[in-house]
Amino acid sequence: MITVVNLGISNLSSVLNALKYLEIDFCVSNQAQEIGNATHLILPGVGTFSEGMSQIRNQGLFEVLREKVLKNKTPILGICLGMQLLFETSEESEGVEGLGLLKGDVIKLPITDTYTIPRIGWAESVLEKDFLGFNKGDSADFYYIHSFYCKPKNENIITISGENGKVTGAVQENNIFGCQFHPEKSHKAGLKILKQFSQEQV
Amino acid sequence: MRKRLIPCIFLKNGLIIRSEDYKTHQLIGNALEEVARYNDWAVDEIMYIDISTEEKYDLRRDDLKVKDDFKTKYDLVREVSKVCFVPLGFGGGIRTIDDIKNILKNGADKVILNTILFLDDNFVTQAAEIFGNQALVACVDYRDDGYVYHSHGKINSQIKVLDWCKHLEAKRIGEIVLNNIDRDGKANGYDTKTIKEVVEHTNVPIVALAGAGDNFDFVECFEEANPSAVAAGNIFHFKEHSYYHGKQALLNANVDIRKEWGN
Repeated sequence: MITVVNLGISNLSSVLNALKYLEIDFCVSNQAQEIGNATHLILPGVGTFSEGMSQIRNQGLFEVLREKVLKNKTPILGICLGMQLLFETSEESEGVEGLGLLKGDVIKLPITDTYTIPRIGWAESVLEKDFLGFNKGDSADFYYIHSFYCKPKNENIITISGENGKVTGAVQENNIFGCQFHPEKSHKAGLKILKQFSQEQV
Repeated sequence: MRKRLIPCIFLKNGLIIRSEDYKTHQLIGNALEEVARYNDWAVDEIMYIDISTEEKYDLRRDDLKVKDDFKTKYDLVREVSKVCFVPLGFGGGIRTIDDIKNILKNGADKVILNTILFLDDNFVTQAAEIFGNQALVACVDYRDDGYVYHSHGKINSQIKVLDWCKHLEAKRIGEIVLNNIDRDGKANGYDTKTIKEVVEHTNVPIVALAGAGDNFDFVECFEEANPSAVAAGNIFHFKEHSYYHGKQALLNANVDIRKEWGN
């Protein structure tokens, strides 16, 4: 079953409402054993990088998440902060080690005049690669709220980008998926991503 | 970021009302049906503003069998968020940090603050520390005299609109809704002069509210005042396909709005 990892720091209700609406079976857990049994993992999150990682550590989930994703190849979808936690470090919390499932770092959004920070709102997002039901070359608007973004070492894993390729919108490396935007708040385009993720084969 | 067109739903005791002059309130329907309809329309965002002066909720929907659960605004937010997959803002009667926590916990993305901002000058800063300023919206009610009013538009704060907006920005508000209550329900166009002035002198996203009578008013507001979003209440309740037509008008005028994905 899809397991939504509850870090206890963020509001899960939007994600859960979307899964219910899509009639996707799921459970919510912060227990290593239940997470060990998951067929798919969703890691949502709003808050700081260090808060997120300390919850993962305190609840004893660091090892089980790494083993599930890297060894068992269980599909995982990180949303917003949850995506950032998949990487190695973040400028938001210097010295804090991320899950390290993806190589790369989380860095501050560059200052431009096309958005304010936090960067909030609907942004045109271009599909650089096929991604969860979308095809390369598609474009869709997704809803973002963030001040930091992910810079993967391997730029080939970037599947969606915004601001003329400057801001990472989504990544995928094998069974590891991350969305900087909130699919649960991105109406049909976002619900499609959640639906497609739930159907990913292990 | 795309420009947004936001339906604003005014509630009184759990029911939708049409508001005029901030004092005439016509009951027009059920809050849950409306949000489901807006969700079908793929709106950019939804704002609920509760103007109840008493804590009493009644959806007039005995068939839903949820009547008894609707005791507070939190219950309403929870039910609305079940069918709302776009950003949801909720305002009205928020006085404490716990109020904000409960509203966000029940599924809203933003809270809309007004009177509390006059009662506690550090409220925004304190709330921003906890929730981040992206979750904090101020509704600035003002009149044609240029002064900001609070407590349901009854009390003149003696503060000018731009001064108040700059003050809120300094306190770290995330977004400001400018609501000219003399235009409430009048359908005679937005107060583009004031909106433009605030947009030009602040760096906070500004949402224009009050005065929309037709789609041309949306276009005019974006073209003349360039806010981040334009919001409206009554026009979306009373005109068929009004949201769709509003978006079409903005597209035709080349306003950079979100194009709905899919069908």
